[in-house]
Amino acid sequence: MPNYLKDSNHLLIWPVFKEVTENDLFICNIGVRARYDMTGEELLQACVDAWQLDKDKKYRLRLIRPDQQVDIPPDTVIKEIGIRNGDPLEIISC
Amino acid sequence: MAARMGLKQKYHAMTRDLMWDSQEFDMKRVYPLIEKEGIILKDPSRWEDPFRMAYNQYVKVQAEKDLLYHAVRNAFEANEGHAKVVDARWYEGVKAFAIAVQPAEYQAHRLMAYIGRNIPIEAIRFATINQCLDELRHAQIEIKHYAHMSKKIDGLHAYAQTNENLWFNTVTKSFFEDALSAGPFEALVAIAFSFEYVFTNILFLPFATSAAAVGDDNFVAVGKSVQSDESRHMALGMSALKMLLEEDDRNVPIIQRWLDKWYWRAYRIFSVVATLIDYYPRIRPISWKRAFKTYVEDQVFEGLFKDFRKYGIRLPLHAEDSIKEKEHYSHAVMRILNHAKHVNAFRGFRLHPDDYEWLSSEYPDTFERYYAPFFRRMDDHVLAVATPGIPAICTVCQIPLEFPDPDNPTRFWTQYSEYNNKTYMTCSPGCKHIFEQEPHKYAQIWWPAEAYVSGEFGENLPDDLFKYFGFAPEEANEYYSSRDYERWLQYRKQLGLDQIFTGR
Ligand SMILES: [Fe+2]
Ligand SMILES: [Zn+2]
Repeated sequence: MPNYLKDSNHLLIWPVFKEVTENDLFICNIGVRARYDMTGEELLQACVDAWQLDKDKKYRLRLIRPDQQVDIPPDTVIKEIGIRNGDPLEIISC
Repeated sequence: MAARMGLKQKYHAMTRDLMWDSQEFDMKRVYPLIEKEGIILKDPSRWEDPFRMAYNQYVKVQAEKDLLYHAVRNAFEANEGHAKVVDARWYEGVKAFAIAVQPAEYQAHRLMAYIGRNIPIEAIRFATINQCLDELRHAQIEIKHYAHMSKKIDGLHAYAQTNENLWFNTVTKSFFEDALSAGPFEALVAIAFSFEYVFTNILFLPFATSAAAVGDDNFVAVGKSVQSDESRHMALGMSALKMLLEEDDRNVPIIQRWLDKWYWRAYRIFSVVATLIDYYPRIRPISWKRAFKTYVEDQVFEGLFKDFRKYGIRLPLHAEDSIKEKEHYSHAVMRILNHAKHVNAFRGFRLHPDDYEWLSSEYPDTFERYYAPFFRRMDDHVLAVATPGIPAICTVCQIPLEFPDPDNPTRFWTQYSEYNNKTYMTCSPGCKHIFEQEPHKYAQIWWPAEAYVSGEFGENLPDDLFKYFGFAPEEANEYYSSRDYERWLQYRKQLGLDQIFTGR
């Protein structure tokens, strides 16, 4: 069976648009394909696309870990940031 | 035989006197799991099967139950019963039941066989074998029911495939695979006590009452036939638990740990039942909130667990959370189902003014404030609330991570754990606790969302998934604009049932 994760450069991340977790829509994280060599900015774009958000608005991305939350810098490659397969993320309107 | 035997002697002669201890093999090799869980048994042979039924009686009673069901079904079909229900959206709920509950029945039969094989106590063995056969009967009677429903209704024509592959069923699978991969005593506490004793009343009584209220006599017959075995199953759960607690004090902390885990596990698997009671029937005889109060809080927590105090057993760890959640449970779960209604084999539906009225009056503190705005979004556009992608699920119960914190209902209850250099998400403190007791176990889950997004069933999501699920996109989505609803209206019209008579 084909599987995106078989490529060692590939991972799945699970972003949620923060706003819908705070209003009555209450939709949770969804699965999105990513690559370890993407920059933080490219990852943000992939998440904005997956959530079909208004591209004229500005967003930032935050990594959620059990013990901390980390703002994802746009220019760094996500492997260096330490993003892992299965990571939950939040998309936050600026 | 000269003298007639009494009931007890007769029962012994036909059941437990047939056992023997192995002489050729080491008992520990014949029953390799018996000491693995730390349970200590001193003299288990003094325990009696609570029901004391011999096989010939069992077969006779069960055969009568089956015949009765088929008689009702024949009459229901001959009398155009389907056309006469008050609102056929009810069947969308029965489909959800079909995919969530029937596979549980089938798995329960395997689990009972596993327990009977591995625990060499006559009383337990005979009761588990009876229940094993019961569960297979339930699975088959339900499948028969769906085969007949399928003549009139979408969504069940590839039933075996749908119930195996739809994400919704992984919730059931994870519960039973968890129990089947536990030791036999833990499995016994999981199924016989937590599942059967605590929760099956709330499954079959209110839902069968709802079926009667909407006029689905056919389902009433299924529910009653199944429920009629439950008193036996509940008796097994109770006597097994008492036996384990009384055989040795050192068993108590182990049992407490299992009750903490399996109470929450069973409670979560029953979440869909909350929606089946509160949402799908157009006429509701009882709400989840009231049913939970009666069957769980009053009967189990206030009644049974008070008796358990003498053994040193307290309420399950997250009992309080489930009590708080009763104000939210059905609404939160219906919201989850609506997020995914375009990919489910059962449809969601717009609520009518009478639905809003009932939900508001039954849930005055929560429905209007936290949930009605969500359901109203669908008034103009049936897919207004659809998730834009494949949702993440709880690593333990496998339900999408969309439960609100009952203390703060506008916030997610989602919990995060770190294990083996990965982040794991769970839906609630109850599931987080279970994960953290055995992270190596839950880290092995087959996560449908991950498989879907990885492209295992096609690149074009969600469209490519339908082939794998075994139904078409037209069989999903909104009920009141579906072809099923249109057909039902036509059917009623042909019978003249669309006429409305008012006045004296
Ligand atoms: Fe059953
Ligand atoms: Zn969970």
